[in-house]
Amino acid sequence: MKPEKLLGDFNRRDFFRLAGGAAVGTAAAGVTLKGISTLSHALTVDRRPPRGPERWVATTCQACAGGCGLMIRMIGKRAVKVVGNSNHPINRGGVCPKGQGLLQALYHPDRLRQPLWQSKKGSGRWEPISWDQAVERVADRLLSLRKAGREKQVAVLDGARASVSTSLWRQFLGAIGSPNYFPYPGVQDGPSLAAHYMMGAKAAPAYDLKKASYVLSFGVNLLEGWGSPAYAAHVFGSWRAMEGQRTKFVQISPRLSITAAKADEWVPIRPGTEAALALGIAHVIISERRFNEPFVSEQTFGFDEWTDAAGRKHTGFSTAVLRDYPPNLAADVTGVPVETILRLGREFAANPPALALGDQPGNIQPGTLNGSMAVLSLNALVGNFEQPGGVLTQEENLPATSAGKTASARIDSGISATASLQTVQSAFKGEFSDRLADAVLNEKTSPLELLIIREANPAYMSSDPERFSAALARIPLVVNFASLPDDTTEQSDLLLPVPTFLETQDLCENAPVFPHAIVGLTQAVVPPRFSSRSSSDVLLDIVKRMGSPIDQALRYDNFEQVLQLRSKEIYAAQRGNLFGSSLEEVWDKLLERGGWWSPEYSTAEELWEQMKTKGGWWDFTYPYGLREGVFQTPSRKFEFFSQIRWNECLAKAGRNSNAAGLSNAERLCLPHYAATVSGDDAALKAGSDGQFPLSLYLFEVLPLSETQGADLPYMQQILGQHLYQKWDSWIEIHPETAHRLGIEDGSWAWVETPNHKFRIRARWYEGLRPEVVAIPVGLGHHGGSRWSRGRGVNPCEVLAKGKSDSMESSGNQSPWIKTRVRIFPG
Amino acid sequence: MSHHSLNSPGQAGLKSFFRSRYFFLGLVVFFIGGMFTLSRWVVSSGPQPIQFNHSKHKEAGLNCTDCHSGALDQAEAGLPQMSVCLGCHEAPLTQSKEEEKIRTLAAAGNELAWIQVTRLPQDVYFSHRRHARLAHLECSVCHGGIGESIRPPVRPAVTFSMSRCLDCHQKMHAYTNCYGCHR
Amino acid sequence: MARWGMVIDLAKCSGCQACVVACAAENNVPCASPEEAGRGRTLAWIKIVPFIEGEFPHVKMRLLPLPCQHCDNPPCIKVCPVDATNITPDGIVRQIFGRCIGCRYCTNACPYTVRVFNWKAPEWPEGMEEAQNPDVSLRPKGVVEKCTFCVHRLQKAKEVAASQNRPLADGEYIPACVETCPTQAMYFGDLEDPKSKVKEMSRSPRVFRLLEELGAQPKVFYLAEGEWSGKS
Repeated sequence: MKPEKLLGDFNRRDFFRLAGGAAVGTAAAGVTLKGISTLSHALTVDRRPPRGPERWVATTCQACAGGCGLMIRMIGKRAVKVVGNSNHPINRGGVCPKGQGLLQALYHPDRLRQPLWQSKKGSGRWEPISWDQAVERVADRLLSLRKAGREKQVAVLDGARASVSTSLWRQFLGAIGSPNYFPYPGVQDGPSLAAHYMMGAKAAPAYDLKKASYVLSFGVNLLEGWGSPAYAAHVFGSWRAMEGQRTKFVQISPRLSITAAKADEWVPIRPGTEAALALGIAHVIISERRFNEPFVSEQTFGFDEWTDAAGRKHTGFSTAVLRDYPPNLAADVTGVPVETILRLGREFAANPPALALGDQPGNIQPGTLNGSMAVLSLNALVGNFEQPGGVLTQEENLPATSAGKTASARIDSGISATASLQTVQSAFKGEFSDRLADAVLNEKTSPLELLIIREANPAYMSSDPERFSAALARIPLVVNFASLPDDTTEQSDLLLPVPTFLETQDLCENAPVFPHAIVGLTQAVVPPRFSSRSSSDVLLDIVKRMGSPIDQALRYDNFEQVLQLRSKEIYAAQRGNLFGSSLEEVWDKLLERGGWWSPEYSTAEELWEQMKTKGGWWDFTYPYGLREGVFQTPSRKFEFFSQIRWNECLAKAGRNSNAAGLSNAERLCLPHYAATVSGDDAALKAGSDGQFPLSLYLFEVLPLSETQGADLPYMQQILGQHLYQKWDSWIEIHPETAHRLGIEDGSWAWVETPNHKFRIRARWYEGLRPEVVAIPVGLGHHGGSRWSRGRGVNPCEVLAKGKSDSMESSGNQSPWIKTRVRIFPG
Repeated sequence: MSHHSLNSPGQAGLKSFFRSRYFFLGLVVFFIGGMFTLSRWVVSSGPQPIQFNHSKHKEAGLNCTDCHSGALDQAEAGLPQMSVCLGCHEAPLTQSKEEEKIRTLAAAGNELAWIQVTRLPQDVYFSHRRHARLAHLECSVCHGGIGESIRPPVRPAVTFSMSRCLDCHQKMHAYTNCYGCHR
Repeated sequence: MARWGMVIDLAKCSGCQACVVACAAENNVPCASPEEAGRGRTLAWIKIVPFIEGEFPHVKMRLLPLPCQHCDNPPCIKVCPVDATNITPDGIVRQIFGRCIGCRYCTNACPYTVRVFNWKAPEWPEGMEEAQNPDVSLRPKGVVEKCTFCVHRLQKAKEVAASQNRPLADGEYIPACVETCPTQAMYFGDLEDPKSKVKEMSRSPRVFRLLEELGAQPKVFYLAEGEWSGKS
């Protein structure tokens, strides 16, 4: 078409047509552009999490009691990686798998988002309420209880590790007049009670593990969550560093755990017979006169026969051991060959400093009192106390905060709990939940009106979940501070979302097993997610609302003020220093200054600010030596025969106790092995013909230590790597036993106890005594997040019932070791 | 066919108006022309929190790294946080409403929700430190004239492409292997 | 040119698997769902391999941390039809995800079974993507991935050292597994540097390499668990 042809007859009408087209075209272009622009914004929205500058924040881990120092890598406002603080005296830069999994807890999709209220516990009909309403409900209930004079019916169950926030809660209970502060899962276990009876110690003993030459562990899961896992791992690494003498590590346990596998020697033992083995070893040391004679004669009490003030003759430890525990007898009971017992005794005595640890198997299993006393007496035979490589006392903490001592278990308010609640307060690890249920259900009316649960999940550890929820149902108000749903949150009235420790500030004090005074700063690495609030801040709100006189006792504007006050107290103690580059360097500096205390800070404010970058403060010195007050027993010596316990028995028995009762008491005060009355030993030896021929052994694995970890996929993926087990429970059976019972490896099996029956995946495992089967603890949650709920089985529920007095008389009564099962293909 | 007979003459006229080749010509030419000319106005405003003017800040003597502080020492140059803006704008410097917005947002405790316009695919590892600090490249080598913009940019002033990266890498004898940049 | 290598002291390793979790967190390795895990599709760039030997009571269990061995003569790169995997001049065996066609020849050729295949697109539970490391890409469905010795950390460490006008120091570049190891059982560094710790450890009389007879020349050295020899 030629142009003249095209425009030749271009007329006015055509011009309007062109103009119309131009107008529509321009408009269409505008609309299209806008559309494309909007669309491209919508399409190019970066679905990647936002980037930003990188920085590092020092904090203290509270995933367990270990107290490791962490550095969190931040990208903008996001926490993206956990790294160890290489200057931290506990973990020295290492981080355990639980620490590495922390960010999954922080960014967990099932985090509790707002305060919730349910009018009937367990109904699941949660009604969102505001923080103001929540604070009001708790404060009003507290006020009305105080008004009615029933403040002693308030209790706080605290699952948080020792910190300034725990001391604030204790201070609060003191202020309202309640003695019921319950640390969870219970502070007491075999070793700490044994240390109480034999050394007069007030806290669990610490151990100078690193410098020990020989370590005899009676079932302690040293590498799977015991004490401070990263510290234990660091110590283990130093034993194997091939610098100088290599420390020998012997693991005595019924199952080849990871700890046993990594030990220099594994001694398979019948469950619950640790005391007999320890005393068999003691027999070797005493009969061959390999014990530390100067220590035994000067620093111990009750080794030989003695007569008390009342003229009563008491058997000496040596006499009792030589009489009752010859190695052949110990071998019969324990299943450990005589020659092994002889060799262990000789090695233990010949490799000073030699340490005996035990007999609590993990964080929640308490061990037994008699076993722990027997183990502790081995340390006494070689005189390994208060010296490098020995048993230490947790060095006396810093001067107590105004908020009360954080390390001691009982509140010092001068008020005593009711008898039933006292049994809860002195509960042993793992037995707390059942004791709480007993206390609440065994009385006509509940001894508790208000139970505040802080970051604890007692329902999981209950041997009878239904009974436990019945107990909680009897308590009129159960307030639960939690960040993730769990078995207990469902049984609460008021559910208050708390941040994880990565979103809160706190000062963590001391660490289990670690002998030095140490304070680690926990910082809010990210702001609290959702509408969660730290329980300490909520508590201060409650206090403000309660008004006088409670708000006079806790006169703080906010929790940070409490923390700063604490840092002033640390400053005032005039000791210790910030975390430095290495212990050796710190030590050199100290020597340079001629031992004078000369820290890197000159004011309390400077200390507080510096803690934020260094991560914390510690006292790197330890006063080795048998100084005054190490043994706080009546004799001021280590007591093979516990006079503290003797006095308790006398008080219990009354004045006119008979001879039989006293001779039993006599037995209880000396380390002993309590042969079971039920004839379990006989059944074990006879080749298991009984109705329930197998012994159930529960073990803790590091990814689920303290029964926490099932919520995190990272942990579920590494549960039982030795058998490639993940995401589910399993039962370990010796292949011979399994073969006899017709159970294939990897097949389903039924496990039956007198009261329970459940189905579980069976795995053959050579690392197990043939008469023992083993299940890991930590799965089988009835409530919880998407990954923990209903996954696997909770073996705590099938433990043999009975009076939970395992610590009182005979160790073999502990449900942890007396439960028997039978198994058939499922 | 009865519908045809119902068509009014007026309707027929309108029909011929839209069917005319002149209308079509106008539509096409102005649509295409409009796409080019209108783009400056229609797509000028992105959803940035502040109508930010790079040019003004440059005139005031600021360097890129004064606000994009990671450009020399981090992988990520970063977008200025509220605290950086308040460093100068805590008190009013101008009469600008946009400037006032910063303080309003800050008073409400909000951060500046900048939208990052220069983005690389997620499998590319790019480090500002390497290019700006170590290779001493000027920002404009990659970012072009973004510093001259008077409105908040909605897209990079220069299109980023792998061939553009490679051209420069070849010219400067920097590495050209895959894993140098791809993670 | 550096030659990066690793020494793992099996006597010090406590089998805790912190390395496994640290690696997944550092490298954006997604968690497989329980169902996927049941089909053996868990992704891991380092894993603990158990070896249980003997019969009760004489049972020995060895736990072997197994990352990519970064062979000097890697069998995997020889079979890749698209050159999606190769070895850098400083000895790191790399995977180029954009090129990988998912044929899995390399996974089969690797005698150490350290290469894993993405059976599905990576998924992060809502919220958990916040913890993603911006330095490591997410791998799409259908490609093979493996340990990179955290090479992004090398890039960063080199840049930091260069920007401070100094050479890279020993220990400045370490992968996430080595960094987290609570027993300090892992050593990492330049095998060409005669003064490096890793060089010193790799000369230990306890040293061995896995399947050495295959000639792949791995750069991960293991130190055998020694025995206690007491004075008693």
